[in-house]
Amino acid sequence: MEPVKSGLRITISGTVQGVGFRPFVWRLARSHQLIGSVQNSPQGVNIEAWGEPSQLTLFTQRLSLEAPPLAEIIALNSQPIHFASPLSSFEILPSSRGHVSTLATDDVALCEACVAEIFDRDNRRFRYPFTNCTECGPRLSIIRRLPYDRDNTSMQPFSQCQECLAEYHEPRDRRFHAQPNCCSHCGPRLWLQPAVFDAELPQNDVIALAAQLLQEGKLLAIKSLGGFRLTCSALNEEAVARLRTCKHRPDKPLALMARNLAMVADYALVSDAEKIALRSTVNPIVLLKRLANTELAKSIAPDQNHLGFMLPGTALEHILLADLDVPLVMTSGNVSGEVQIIDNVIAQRDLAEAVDFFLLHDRDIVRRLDDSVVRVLPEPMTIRRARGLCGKRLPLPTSLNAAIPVLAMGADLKNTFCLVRQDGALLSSHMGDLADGGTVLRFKEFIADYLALYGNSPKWIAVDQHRDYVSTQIGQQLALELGCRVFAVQHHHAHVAAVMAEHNINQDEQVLGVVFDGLGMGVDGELWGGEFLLANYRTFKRFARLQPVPLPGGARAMKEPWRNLLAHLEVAGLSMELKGLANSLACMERLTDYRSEILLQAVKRGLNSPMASSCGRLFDAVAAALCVGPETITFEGQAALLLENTAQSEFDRVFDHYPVNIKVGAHLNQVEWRAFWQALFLDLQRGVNKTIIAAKFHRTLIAITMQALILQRSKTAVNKVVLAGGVFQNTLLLRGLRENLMQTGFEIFAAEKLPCHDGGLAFGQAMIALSVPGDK
Amino acid sequence: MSQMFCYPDTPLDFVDGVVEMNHGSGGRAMAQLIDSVFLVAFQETSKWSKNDFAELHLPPGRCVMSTDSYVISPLFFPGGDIGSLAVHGTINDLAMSGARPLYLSVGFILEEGLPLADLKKIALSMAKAAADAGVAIVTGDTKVVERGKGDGVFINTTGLGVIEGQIDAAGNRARPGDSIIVSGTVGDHGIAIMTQREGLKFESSLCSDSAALHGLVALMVETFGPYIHCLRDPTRGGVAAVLNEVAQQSEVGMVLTEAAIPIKKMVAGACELLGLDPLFIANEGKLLCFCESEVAESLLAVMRSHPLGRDAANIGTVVLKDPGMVLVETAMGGSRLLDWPLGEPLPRIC
Repeated sequence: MEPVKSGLRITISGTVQGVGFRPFVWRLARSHQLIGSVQNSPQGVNIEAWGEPSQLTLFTQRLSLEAPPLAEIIALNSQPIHFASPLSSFEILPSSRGHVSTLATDDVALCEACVAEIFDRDNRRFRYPFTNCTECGPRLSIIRRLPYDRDNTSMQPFSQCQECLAEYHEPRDRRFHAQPNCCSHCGPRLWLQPAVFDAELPQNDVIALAAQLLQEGKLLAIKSLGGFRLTCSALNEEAVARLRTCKHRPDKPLALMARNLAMVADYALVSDAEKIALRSTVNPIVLLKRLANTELAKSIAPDQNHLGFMLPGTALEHILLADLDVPLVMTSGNVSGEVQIIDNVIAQRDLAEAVDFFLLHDRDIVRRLDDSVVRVLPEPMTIRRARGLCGKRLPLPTSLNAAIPVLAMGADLKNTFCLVRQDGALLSSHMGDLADGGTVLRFKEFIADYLALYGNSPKWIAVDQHRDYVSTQIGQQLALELGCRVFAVQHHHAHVAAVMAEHNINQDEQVLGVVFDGLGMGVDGELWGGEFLLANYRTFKRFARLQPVPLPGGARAMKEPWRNLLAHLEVAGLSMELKGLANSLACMERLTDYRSEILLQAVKRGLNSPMASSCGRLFDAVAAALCVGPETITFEGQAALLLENTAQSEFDRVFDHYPVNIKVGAHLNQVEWRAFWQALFLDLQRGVNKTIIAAKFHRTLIAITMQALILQRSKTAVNKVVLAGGVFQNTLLLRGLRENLMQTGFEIFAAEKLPCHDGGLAFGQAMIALSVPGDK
Repeated sequence: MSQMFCYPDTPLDFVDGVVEMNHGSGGRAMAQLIDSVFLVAFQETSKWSKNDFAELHLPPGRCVMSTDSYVISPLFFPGGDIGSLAVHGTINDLAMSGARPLYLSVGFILEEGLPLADLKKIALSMAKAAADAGVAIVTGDTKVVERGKGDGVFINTTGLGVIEGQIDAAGNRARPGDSIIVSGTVGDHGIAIMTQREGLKFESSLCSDSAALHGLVALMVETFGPYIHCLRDPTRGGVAAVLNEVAQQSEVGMVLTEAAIPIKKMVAGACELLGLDPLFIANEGKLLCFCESEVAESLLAVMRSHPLGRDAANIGTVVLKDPGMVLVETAMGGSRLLDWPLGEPLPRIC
C-alpha cells in the first residue's frame, strides 16, 4: 500500500545562505525519501517537503541538529501544506526576490579539502590561488548585494567553464552552488609586476617568483582577501625597517604570517586553545607569547612580549607560504592616515614608492575588511573585530525590544558602527580612526554600504555625547538626511551596556560597572576615564571616580606620557618637594626643565589643560615615572602596554600595593593619589626594581577597584561586576581583578567577543537606545 | 579751539588720572576728555570734526563698508595695542574686498578706572596707525561703563573704502584648481597675546603681526586682480576658520600641505608645548588668497617683494571632491581633517 504523504512548509532564517545549506537540505530530504523543493529567499531559506509523516518529523529535527558548521539558524517555523507536491523529486529552485533580511556571511579560511586540492599535482586546481568551495572562501568581501548569488558578487564577470558549471549544478559536489566557484580556466587571474617600471616578468608561476623575491628581501604589495597587504620576510631586518619607514609606523608591532603551526612555534609559545584560534575559519591574528632569541628581525615588535601571528587563510596565501621557509610580515597596505587600499589602480598610485613589486589580481574587493586580532587568556579577548567576525549577528539581550531599527555611530578612534534589526545587531568591521582624513571622508560611504547591504533604514541614530566627535557630527547629519531621531549616549555607560548585552544581562538588572579607558565626555562636561557606575541599560549613576587631573596641552598629553606625570605630581602637591630629585631620578630631570615650568603655568591658568579622571593617563604617568617607553609615543596605548610588559615578570610574586585612599563623598567617592605617589617615589629613591614597582602599581589599581566595589555592594547589594573600557586589554589587570573578584563572591562580566575598547562602543550605544521606552 | 568751553578747573592728569563715570555723561568732563585726548590725537592726521557726523567725498568705484569691534586682553602687547589693532583690523576687512580704505569712524566704550595715560597712548597709537595707512578717522563716540563692566576699553571701528581696481573677490568664488596662498607666517598674533596674557616664559619673545594689508593687496590687485578669486584675513579662528568658511561657501574641497605652511620656530614650539594647532590661532597682519594656479608663482613673487608678503607661500589647492572638507596632508605622509575651530583655540580631544 502507498504510504500516506503529508506536506510541510518550513521557513528558516539566520545565516543560511552561502554556507552550503541548500545542498545539505537536498541531501537530507533525499535520504528521507521526501519530494519538494528548497529555495533561498530574502528572509533565509524556504523548504516545501512532502513525504511519510515520520520521515518529515525526522527531517525537521535533523535540519537544526546537523546544519553545516558555518550556518546559524535563528528561527525555524513549519506549517502543514494541504495540497499535493507539484514536483516528483526534491529540487533546488532559483532564489526568490523581495525585502532582504538575511545576512551576508563572513569570509572563511580555506577548508582542508581545498588545501589538499591545491597541493595535489593531479588536481585541476593545483596551485590555483582562487580555489574555494561552499565550506570556505570569500563572502562579505565580494558581495555587492543580497541575496548571495554569483551575479550579486564581484565573481559576476567570470563565467564558469563547463567543468566548474558541472560542479556548481551537482548537488553531491562540494561546490554545488558555491558562488565564487572557479578554476584557472575561468576564474580570476593573478599577476606580478614591478612597482616602478613596466618590465615584463615571467608569468608562468608568479607565486613561486613572488616567494623568491620575498626571500631575497623585497617588499611586495599583495591584493589579499579584504584589502591590500604589505609584506616582506620577517627575518630580514633591512626589509622590515624599510616597510616601517614607508608606512610611517616606527614602533607599533607588525603582524606575521607563518606557513603552519610548527613554524609559529619557532617564534612563540602556542597553547592548544591558541592553536584552535589560529586554525579557526575566522583566520585571525592571534597574539602569542614571544620566545626569546629568535631570528626574527629586531624591529618586528620592539620591546614587546607578544607577537601577532596568523596562518594562511586563502589559497594564494597557502601556496605562497608553502614556497617560503620564512614567516612574512603581513600589514595592511595603506599610506598613513588613509584607509586600507582595495583597488589596483590606487594601490599602484599610492604604494609605488613603498614597495618593489605588486602581486595583483582582477577580482574586485567590494568591501574593505581588516584582519581580526584576538587573544586567548584562556577566555577569548577580541582586540580587533573585522574579517571573519564582523558578519556575525550579535544576539540582543532577551529582554530588550528591538521593534525600531537603530544605527549607533560608535566613537572616533577604532570606530565601528552598529545596526540593530529585530533579529540581532550587526557591528561593522573595524573602520579605523576618524582622526585620519581618508577614513573621515569615506565614513558615510561605509555606513551607506552597510545600510544598503542589510536593507536597514534606521529610525533612531545613537551618538556619543561628545559633540565634537566626527562620528557624532556625521550621525547628526545622517539623522537630518534620513529623518531620524538622535539619541546621545554617555561614553562610559555605553561601554558598560556593551558588555552587559554581550552576556545577555536582563533589562531590570543592575550592575557595578568599572570603566577604565583613555577619555570620554562625561555628563558634567568634564573628561572621564576612570569611572565606577551603578548601571542598567537605561540609566546609570556614577558612585566613584579616579581623582581628576589636568591634561597639560590637551590632546598632546595623550602623546607624551611625561605631561601626565607632571600634572599628577602637581595635583598631589608633590612637584616642589620632588624637584630636588632632578639630579638623582631620571624621570624628574624631564619635569624640571623650562618647558615643564611653562606647562605648569598653563595648567594654573587653565590654558588648554582640561581636567580628566582618566585611567589611561594614570598608566602614562606611572610609565613616565619609571622611564618606561619613549618621550613621545607613536601608537595609542604604547606606554601602558610597555608598563604591563614591565610588570609581567613580577606580577605573580608581588601582592602588596601602594596606599589606597578613597575619599568618601555624599554623592561621589573619589580615589586620591597623593599617598600613592609618595610611596611610589619612595620606592624609586630606594632603587627598587622597575618591574616590582610596575607590578605594585597594577596591584594598587586592583586594590582600589576592589575597595570601591565592596563599599558599593554593601550599600546596594548589587553583585554583578562589569569590567569595560580599553584599559582592560591589560591582561594582568584583568586577570588579577577576575581572581580577586571571584574570591570575594562577585559575578564578573568582561568583553570577550567584542573589543573592550571603543571598537565595541556602538553595540552598547544601540542597547541603551533600545532600552528607552516609548515611541521611537 | 581748545579754549572755547569751560572745562572743570583742573586739566586732565595723564600721570595718575583715570576714566571716571562723568567722562561719559555728556557734560563738561566729557568734552574735556574728547578735546584733550581724541581731538589732540586725531586732528593732525584726520579730518576729525566735533559734529556727530562726517561729510565725505568718495572717488569713483564700488563703495565698500565694514565694521568690527575690538576686545582684547592685554590692551598693550608686543607689536601693538588695542588701538592699532582696531585700525588695522577694519582696514584689512576693507582690503579683503580689494578696496582702498579711506575713512574710519571710532567708538570707544571705556571702563571706569582706565588710566588716562593708557587711553591717550591708545588714541595716539590709533592716530599713528591710521596716518601710516593713509586713512582718516573722521568721526567718533565715547561711552563710559561702570567699573567691572568692561575690560578697560572696547573699540569699534567702521570703515569706508572704494574698489578701484579689477577684482571680484568673494568667499563663494574659490574654484577647483585654485592655489591657496598665505602672505606670511601663521599664528604670530595669537601666540604673542597668549604668552603675554598668561605669563608664559618662553626663551625667546614674539611680536604680534598686527599690520594694515591694503598696500600689499593693492599691489596684488594691480598685477593679478582678475585672477584673484577670494581674499580673506585669518583673524579669530585662524586659517582653519577661513578655509572651512570658504570651502563651505564655494562648495569645494581643499587640500593643504602642512610642510609648506610658513610658521615661526617660536610659534611652532609654543604650539607644540601648549598642544595648540597654529592653524587655529589668530593673525592680524596676514591674508589668504585664492587665485588661479597659472599665476600663483608670479603672484607669489609680487607678494614677496612687499615687506608684508616676504614669507608668502603656496600652501595648498582647491579641489572638486569632498566639498566643504579641508584636508591637511601631514609631514608624516598621512592626512587629517581640518575641522572648524571649537569655541576656544583648543584642539578636540577624543
